[in-house]
Amino acid sequence: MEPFDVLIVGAGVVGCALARELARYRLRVGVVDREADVAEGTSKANSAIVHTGFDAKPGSLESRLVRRGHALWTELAPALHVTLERPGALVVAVSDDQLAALEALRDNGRRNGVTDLRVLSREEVLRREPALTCDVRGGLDVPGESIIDPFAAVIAQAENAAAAGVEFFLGEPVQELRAQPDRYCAVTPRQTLEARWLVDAAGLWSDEIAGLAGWREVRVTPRKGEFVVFDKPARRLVHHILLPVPTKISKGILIAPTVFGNLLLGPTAVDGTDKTDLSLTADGFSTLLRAGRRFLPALQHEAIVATYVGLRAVGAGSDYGIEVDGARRLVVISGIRSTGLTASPAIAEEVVTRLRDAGLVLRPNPGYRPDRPAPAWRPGHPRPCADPDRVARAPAYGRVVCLCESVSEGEILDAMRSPLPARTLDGIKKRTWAMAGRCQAYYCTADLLVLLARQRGVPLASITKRGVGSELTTGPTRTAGGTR
Amino acid sequence: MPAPVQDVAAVIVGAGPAGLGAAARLARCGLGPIVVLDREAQPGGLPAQSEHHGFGLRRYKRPLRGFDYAARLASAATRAGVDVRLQTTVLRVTPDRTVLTTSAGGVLGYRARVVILATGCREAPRPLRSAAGTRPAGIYNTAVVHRLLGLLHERPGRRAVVVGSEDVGLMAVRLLERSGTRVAAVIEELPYLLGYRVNLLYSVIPFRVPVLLGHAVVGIVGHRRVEGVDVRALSTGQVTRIPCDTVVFSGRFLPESGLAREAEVALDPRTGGPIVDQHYRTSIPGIFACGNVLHGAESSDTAFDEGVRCGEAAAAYAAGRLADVESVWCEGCGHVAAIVPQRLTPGARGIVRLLVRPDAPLAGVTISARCDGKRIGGAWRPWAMPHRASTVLLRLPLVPRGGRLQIDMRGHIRGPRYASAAPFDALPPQRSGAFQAAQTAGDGG
Repeated sequence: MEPFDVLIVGAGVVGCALARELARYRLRVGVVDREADVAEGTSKANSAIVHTGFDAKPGSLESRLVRRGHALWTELAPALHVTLERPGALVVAVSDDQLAALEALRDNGRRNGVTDLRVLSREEVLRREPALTCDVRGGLDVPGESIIDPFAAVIAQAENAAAAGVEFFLGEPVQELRAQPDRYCAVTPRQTLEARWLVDAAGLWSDEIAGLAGWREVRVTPRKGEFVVFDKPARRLVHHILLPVPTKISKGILIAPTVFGNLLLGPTAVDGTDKTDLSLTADGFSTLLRAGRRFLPALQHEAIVATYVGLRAVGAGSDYGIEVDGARRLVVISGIRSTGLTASPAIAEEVVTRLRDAGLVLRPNPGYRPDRPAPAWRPGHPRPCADPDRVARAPAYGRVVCLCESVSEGEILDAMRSPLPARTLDGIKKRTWAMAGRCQAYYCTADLLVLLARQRGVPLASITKRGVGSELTTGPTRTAGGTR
Repeated sequence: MPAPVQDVAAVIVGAGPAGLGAAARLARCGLGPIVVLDREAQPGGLPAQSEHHGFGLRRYKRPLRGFDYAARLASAATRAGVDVRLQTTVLRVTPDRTVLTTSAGGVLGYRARVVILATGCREAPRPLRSAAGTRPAGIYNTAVVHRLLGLLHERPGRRAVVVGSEDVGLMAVRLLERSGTRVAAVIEELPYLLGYRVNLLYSVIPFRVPVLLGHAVVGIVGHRRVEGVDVRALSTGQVTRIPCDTVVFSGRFLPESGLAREAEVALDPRTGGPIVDQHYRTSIPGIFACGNVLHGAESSDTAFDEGVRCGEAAAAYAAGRLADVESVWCEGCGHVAAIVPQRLTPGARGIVRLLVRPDAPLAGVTISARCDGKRIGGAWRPWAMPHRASTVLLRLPLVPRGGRLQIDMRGHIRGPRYASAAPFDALPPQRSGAFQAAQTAGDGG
């Protein structure tokens, strides 16, 4: 079989954005990932913010790509039907030192080309955010900071790419990479994928993939970020993204509304070594709650619906690492830290430009469409189950499966029939927000299992939460007699 | 196209014991069409999903299986002329008593003279109980286990740990064991068993499952599927890992009050449910609430009785016979954690039934109701538990208008008496020590 022109290892936001960008051209493109769905690593557990890049290091690659990414998302979000809202952010200073740092932060933002920053007085900040602590000394207004549906941000780009002919190989870890004179052979448990160009967009695992490809050493370490999600009534407490004054290590623990209507608190920043350690610690949890209450005292009365943990991929340097080696036909993307969601479309542009410079022939793909069909629902919009016309046309939209979030059977079936179908419970959750409400799948788990099993024509015991090894059940009961 | 709207006398949200009880009572008053809405395919609420015995002792004077009890309630309501509409989801209830619903048949609104919220309760999910650890597959509530085993005949796992010793947790042990899932332990934070002793004898002891009292789950481990739970003995602080592939969080019922909140009904932070008076009126005129949405799980008979009384009051309201009188708060003192109803209307006649929950396990409990310092009623109980209400009957109109009504609950806090569980890895693979733990535990029932 003809080898791929480009094989991307990693189906996170960077890999999927690159796949979409390459789909514009007449190329055979493949994306391979160890997980059963796209957006299963850092891309699914972050603060879901599209940054302006005001606090980035001026002159850095990160600064340039974040700013470009911010601009690109403004066009991309409507074209891909990804919910993007722009509440703006307030950097909140609660001490004199922090107050002094605000002006430096504003000047830093200007050097990054973010010119609409304004230092606000204590009164102005409290007028805009009455629920804030009375310790506020002042704030910095960052009107461009936005919130996004982080799952759709990846899935939409991946679906768009898949619809244009990009092939996805999910649930297939790359175990071996053989470099031959004109191609790479990527060995997965199921097959060997051959490609002329190889792109390492494996995020947290980009060091291992680079190692397999025989590239010089890349260093990536995990930095744990724990998050707490508050129930919807808490969203009324804030009108902006509330950021602390950043430190050298991290942007700090922020409070942000989400496009799903919740309130998000996090992340912590704990450097570790274990790339599989996604456990919430009691310490992290109490750190978060303390920090949250320090900003918003009313938070202590609000109900928590979920917690989650993400691992950011921290590179050796303080900047993004994007390297294109024309001789080896290898691209290594590493150290895309917490700003990767914002920068992903710009990273894709950058990589494609450099690939062209390195000799990849790019001819426009006449079949490519830059938009994707509107899904039945997306965050911030009414659910189809409340639309009489829709339910009259397709009764499945009237059968509500997830009560807390009003997700209908129709939306679930859509998610299982899309160009990049959901095959796991988490896949359905990311696409429809079923199971993500306050009851946390108390009602709908069983119904969703049945829907998934029926649609895929497999037994219930082979339905997983997120790929092989995370099966939800272990087969029929003794009393069922083995048949159903 | 706007949704079509039907005018009806009453809409009852929820076809559980409370909703069916209220509907049947309302239907006898000849007000007009009475509609009960439920999202399930079967009427009857939680009992309809339960195979075990013990339902309807008060109403039918004999223990029935859950689904038999549910079927009796449903057929009684249907015979009374109630229109029970299943597989219908209520999207919204507005303060002007419009109820918007959706189903495969379409989106439909109801304009009702009376709306009764009987939406029941659900178990607290994992994020509210044990924050630490990972989020692998294999973490369930007992409701999910019931559905998997009862409806789909599918085993949730091979080796489970049940968290919580309320009756639902104890009964889940039997259900799991009988279907081929071993139960490694029942973990209870309190030093006492919460469920009835009969459930311990019937559901736990026959399977030699150890009950670890005074133990808390402090973490869940496992990447893709649960691999174990970390359990801390509260008396010693020692943390032990119990290997298992399934964790079942049971009990700790919370009122399902989302619709009430959206209808702008005032909620009680102590119960999490709507604030009602003895006629089950909420803060919004014409919207009533009854059953477990008021207080979390009580027995289905209690919910049914509440429903009947609520239906009676709603009928009186619809006929203009329920006067709108200023009500007084029932103030809780001493060990009172929550009281339902929260408000009483003075001047009315009859007997009021107060459900009172304590904030700690108590022994030798005196409950007294005082009005402006004068005792007007009360009760004595050998014990009281935080997850189960004690009932106090008050005769009205002993409460004068503008008076101050205090409900006082006193008793000895039952001190920590931990079950002497051996360190877990010292136990043989399964269930030694069950009887010892169970015997210590037995005091609670």
